[in-house]
Amino acid sequence: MKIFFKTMNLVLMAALLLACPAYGQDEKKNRKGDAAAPAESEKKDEEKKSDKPEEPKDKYLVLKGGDVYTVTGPVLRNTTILVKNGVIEDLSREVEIPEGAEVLDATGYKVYPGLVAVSSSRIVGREPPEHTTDIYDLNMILGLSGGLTSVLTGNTVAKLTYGTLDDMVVKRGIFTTIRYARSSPKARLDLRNDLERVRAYMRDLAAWQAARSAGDKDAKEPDKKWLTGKYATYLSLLKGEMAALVSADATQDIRDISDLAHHYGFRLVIRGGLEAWTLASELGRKQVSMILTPRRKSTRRMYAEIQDDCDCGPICGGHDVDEEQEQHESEAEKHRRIHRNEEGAADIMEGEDEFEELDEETLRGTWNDPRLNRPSGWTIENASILYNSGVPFAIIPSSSGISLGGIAGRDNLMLPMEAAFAVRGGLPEKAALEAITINAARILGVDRWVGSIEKGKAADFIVCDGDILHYKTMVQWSVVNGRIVYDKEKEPLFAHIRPRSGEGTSKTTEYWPRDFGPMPSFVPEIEPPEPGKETPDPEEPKEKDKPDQPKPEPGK
Amino acid sequence: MTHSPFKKLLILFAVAALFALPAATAAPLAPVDDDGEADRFVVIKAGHIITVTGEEIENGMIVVRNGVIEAVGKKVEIPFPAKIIDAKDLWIMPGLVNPYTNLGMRRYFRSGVKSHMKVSDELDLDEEILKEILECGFTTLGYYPQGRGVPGQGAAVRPLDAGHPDRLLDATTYILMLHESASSDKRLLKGAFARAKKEIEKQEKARKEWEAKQKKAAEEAKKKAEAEKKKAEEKKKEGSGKDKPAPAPDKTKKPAEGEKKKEPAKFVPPPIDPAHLPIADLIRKKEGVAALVTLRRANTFVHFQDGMKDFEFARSFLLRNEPNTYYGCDLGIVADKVAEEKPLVILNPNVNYRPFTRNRFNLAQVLDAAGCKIAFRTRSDSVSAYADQLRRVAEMVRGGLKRETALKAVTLHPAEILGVADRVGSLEKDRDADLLFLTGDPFDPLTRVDRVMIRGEIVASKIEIQ
Repeated sequence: MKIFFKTMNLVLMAALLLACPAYGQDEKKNRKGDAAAPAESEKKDEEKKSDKPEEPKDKYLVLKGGDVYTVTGPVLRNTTILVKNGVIEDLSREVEIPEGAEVLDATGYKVYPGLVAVSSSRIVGREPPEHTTDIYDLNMILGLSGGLTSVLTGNTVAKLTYGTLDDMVVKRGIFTTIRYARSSPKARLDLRNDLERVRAYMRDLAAWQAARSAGDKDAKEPDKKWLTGKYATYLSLLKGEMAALVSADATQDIRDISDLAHHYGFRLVIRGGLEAWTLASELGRKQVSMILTPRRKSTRRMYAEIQDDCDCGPICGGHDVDEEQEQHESEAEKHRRIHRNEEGAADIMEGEDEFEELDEETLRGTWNDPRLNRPSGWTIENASILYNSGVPFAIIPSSSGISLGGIAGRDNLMLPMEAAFAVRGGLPEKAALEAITINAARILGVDRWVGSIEKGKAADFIVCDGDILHYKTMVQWSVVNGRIVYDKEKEPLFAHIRPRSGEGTSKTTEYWPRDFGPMPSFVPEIEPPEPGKETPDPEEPKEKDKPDQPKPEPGK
Repeated sequence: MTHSPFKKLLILFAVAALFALPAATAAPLAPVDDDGEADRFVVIKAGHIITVTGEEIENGMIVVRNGVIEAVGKKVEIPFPAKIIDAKDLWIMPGLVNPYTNLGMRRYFRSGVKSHMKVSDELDLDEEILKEILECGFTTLGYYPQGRGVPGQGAAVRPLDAGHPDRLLDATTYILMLHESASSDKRLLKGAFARAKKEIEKQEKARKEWEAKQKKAAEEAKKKAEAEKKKAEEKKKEGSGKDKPAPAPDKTKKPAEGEKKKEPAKFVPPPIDPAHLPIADLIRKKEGVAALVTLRRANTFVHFQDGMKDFEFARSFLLRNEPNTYYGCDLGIVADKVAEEKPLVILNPNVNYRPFTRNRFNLAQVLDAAGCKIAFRTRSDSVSAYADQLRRVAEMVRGGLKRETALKAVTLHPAEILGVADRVGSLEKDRDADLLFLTGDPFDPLTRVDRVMIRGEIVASKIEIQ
């Protein structure tokens, strides 16, 4: 029997060896050219694969000799990563390079897992991303140049698969948004009642299942017809299939919602968390996940607590009262609103009476505004305090898109810079890196596939010329699903900024314009045709190749 | 002159109507010639002939018989009597074809899937503008249905007066499909094709059921007949000398049965939703049905392929490569993928910028080198754009595009997109004599259009014919 297996192995090896050289040639041809070529060659190969399922060709990518920041494990110096069919196959110092593998020499570079952005806009398309994404878009290239490889769009985690639609979606249905605003006690009550109802159903269901398994045939299955719409969402929330995403900045809001989550036992993600540091140990005990923006110092909501009840879904930074709404509301409503506002203010002040006589408007935004004079608000140490209390958190910039408008550097092009700002506040660098890779993946529930460099995970990583959190560092290559989708030297964006050493020259003509493969220049190499004479075929340069032959006289 | 053969045809049909149907089908067109009227021959002595499909001919001759090219060459037999046009100083090429235009049409907007709507039913053209177009050298115009989604089918029209019998060249050219946004258009097209497929399946199912029914009915009829035979034999055996009143009702029954059989013999398929019928024909690869898909950027092509991977159908593409932006011209990224289909691609005659740069490149040349067939439309739907067309294309040739390709891109390839390449678009035997008389090389900026011939008749001229 053993002998049989051995011979089988030999046969398989032989088949593999036979198959590999042909593939290698194909790949080499394509590598000569441009950035788009590997993508296309891969696609072609995949098509071939689908045509002939009996001879699948394995695709290998070898990343040689980089310092690998695995994030979940130690930093592996001078280590080679072997990628097989888009999945990390091996991580070691001595990897046997398979024949026909694409080899990328990363000696001297640092390799990080691809960054995960827990919020994005216009980097990949809206939902469903595999049907809406412009896979050749500038924003996608820019995102890759910033190190992003997976982003949340709508309620789906998608990868930045430049040039192909394959394997784009990682997971759908990530978050459910719940509203638990202080301004609307009724909504809070309703939510609690709904959750209670669903929990009661779950108990009944469990009881029924237990009774049935015990042999009780008379047990009635609990009615589940009503479990539609929001109840279905709450059910999946309580079952732990989804996480709840809530925007909350103020201490009281964070405490309220985390209490609720703790009580009902669902997974909670709080976005914002400006004052979360005041509750750090509590949040650590409750294991509430946070999405922080270290450079975001205040919101309008800090000034007007009443307005946190908006319909903008999970990704919302707070609103002022709609002007239209203000116009249409009745006097009574207006009175109620202002009155409520006063109450809220009084709440915060907790018995400090000296401001009572002052008009709220005159106090707004001044040094003695009661809402600002309390042990709360923004601190640069927010992330580090939360980290010390064991609160898992991800970091995102304040703008989730990629833009040059507004304050540059606060968008998803600068994700590592946002994390670096938390480091400025005392966060360990390791934790900052985790906050934009594995922790972000965990919050999105996709850490099985992305977020760290481990065997068996998707081959999404970035190769940088320095520490990821350093402002000087540039991404040199981005790899998504084992494909090199971004090469700094081949894109016209940052190629001229500190070009890679030993890779030729910094002449602009070398890398500009972008190389799209067989794209002839505009100015023709042939002479302009005489009127009435046919243009000589540029593909058959006759005279140039044979200078010895006498040129035909004009006119004959 | 031009009306006379048609009048005759009318008379013929009127006469034919008097006879039974088979007689009409048996009557060939030959009697027109036999009727006494001689063929109209036109002979053009040309200084230079651009045939588009073949080699260019210096000092050649073109023989036109009844508006159709009979012969082209250096030495051809000259028929007699024939009208001779001396164009020894002129260049002659097939009339220009614009595959995608809207000039002179009223504006309307349709959205959703309305593939059964035909532009030919809505033609309402400004004849003044048509005249100007004709003088620019265009002899065939592909009008497209306006709107979004699948707004209908185009029409191939000659820029002639409304009453002219040769005006409508083809009433159904292509089914226009807009695929310019990856999200909404993709969803709409996928839905339309899925619906059409369902309709086809519905028909096939009905056909199968009907066939099964037929089989059953046939078997039953057979059994019945056998039983009756047996009965009849038994009766014969019982009494052969008796009178025969019994077989008489049998005789009356038999034709009745036959009628019953004939009725369902014609399978009437359940009707397909008319808005999806042309798409269903497209999926069933019915001859002459093709689609024109408009793209905006490279990614829309990839999304189109992704959305339509289950369907194979005849299609050509139109790319909106605007002159001064990089949007639309990035199709060069996927040139290889596009070329795998070897499709016809309609482009604007623009030299474009490379994506994200100010470097210019010739997309037409790139796609041509990759293996696509290029067709040019005018840069806009205006008379000035029509007048500019040859100069624009000359600019593309100056920018590296092959001259042959450029010539085909304004004549043969657009005609292929319109599905009328067997009639116009090239200068060879059996094509309509839609010819352009130019004062020089078409890509020489000094050249102007001298005359325009449609179906062997000069319809626009600026100099007197001697």
